[in-house]
Amino acid sequence: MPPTKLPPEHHIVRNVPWGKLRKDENDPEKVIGVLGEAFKMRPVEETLSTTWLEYFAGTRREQIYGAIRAMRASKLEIKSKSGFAIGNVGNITAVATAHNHSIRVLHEPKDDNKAHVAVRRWPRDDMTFFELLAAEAWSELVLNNHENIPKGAQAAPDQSAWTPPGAAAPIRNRPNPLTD
Amino acid sequence: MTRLNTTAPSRGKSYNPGPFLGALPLPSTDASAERWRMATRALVNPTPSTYAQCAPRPSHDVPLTERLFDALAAFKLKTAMLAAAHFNRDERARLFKQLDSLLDAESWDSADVVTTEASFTTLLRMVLFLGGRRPALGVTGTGNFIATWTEGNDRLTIECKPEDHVRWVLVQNLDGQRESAAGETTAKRLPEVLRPYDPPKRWFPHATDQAAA
Repeated sequence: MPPTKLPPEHHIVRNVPWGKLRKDENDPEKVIGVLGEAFKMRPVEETLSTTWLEYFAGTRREQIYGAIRAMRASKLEIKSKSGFAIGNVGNITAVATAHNHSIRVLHEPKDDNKAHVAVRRWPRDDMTFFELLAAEAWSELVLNNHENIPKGAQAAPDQSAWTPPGAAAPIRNRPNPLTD
Repeated sequence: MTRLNTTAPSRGKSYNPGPFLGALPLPSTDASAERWRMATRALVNPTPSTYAQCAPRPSHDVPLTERLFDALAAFKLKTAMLAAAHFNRDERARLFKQLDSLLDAESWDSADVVTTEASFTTLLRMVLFLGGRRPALGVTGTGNFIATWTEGNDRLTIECKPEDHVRWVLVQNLDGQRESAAGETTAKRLPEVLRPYDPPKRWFPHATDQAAA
């Protein structure tokens, strides 16, 4: 089965290490955003690795918790002072198109993260593009050590809470005719 | 291995910083010479014993914690050698706090190359040359420092590469219109290259004025 293309209104989350968070000039512990460098692929990455927010059920806050807990449960090295940048697929794609990058945002589950999304055709190096993402389209940030983020890790469920329009809902979300 | 130059600075001739910071920064007065020596002593005490006495080992043999510690020590020594006379105590403390935070082993991403002394040298020289507001710091995955200035939605980001090469990108908002620019140049040419843009004029006016002159 071909990988699912994420709808433009959905969101993806990328872990941002401490060194790639933008800090206040007068307080090195105060985070004010994300550096464009956060969106540069690592040498080992063939595609930009992210996690699908709407894969998780619940309110937006619960989806964010779900994505973070799933990333903590994966093989990713998530340090306590790292952050998670959240971006809208449509906005990211629009900025990419404006910079002549024809990206593809695809759900490509991995054994250690079923909500894994691979952003394909991502440029290896385009400082302006990365910085513009960090400034706006991919600038929403949640810190891993934020007091409101629950501790702990939990692998993403095998099946997405989201289903394409017209498709049958996943079994775990279908109403039970015997009880509902 | 970095060796600490403890030779007393010459006071025979007047201090000439030269066309750029290559001449930096032998102190020119007794007071500044003493300040430089004190700063150097403070920085190397305590000195990591292995850093000072052992020949460098291949990086893959050295645990990450040790590599970060050695890098941090090297950056502080470099600051003492290159910039002690140009940073007051508060500025030096501020820079060291930034470095301590950035190279903290608990927070460091082990997939990243530990930042290099060559990049740090470019950073120091650039910061001294620009003057004005000191930047916040970040790192690339390939061992370079990133210097950032931020004011509202205006942001200047500069990657410090070895041998005074810098890569910069500016995003600013003018009357609600977003404008971006990027380029690659040397630290020395940076004020001139950034002169047409507004935020750099606010952040390091002395350097941009000099470039205009």
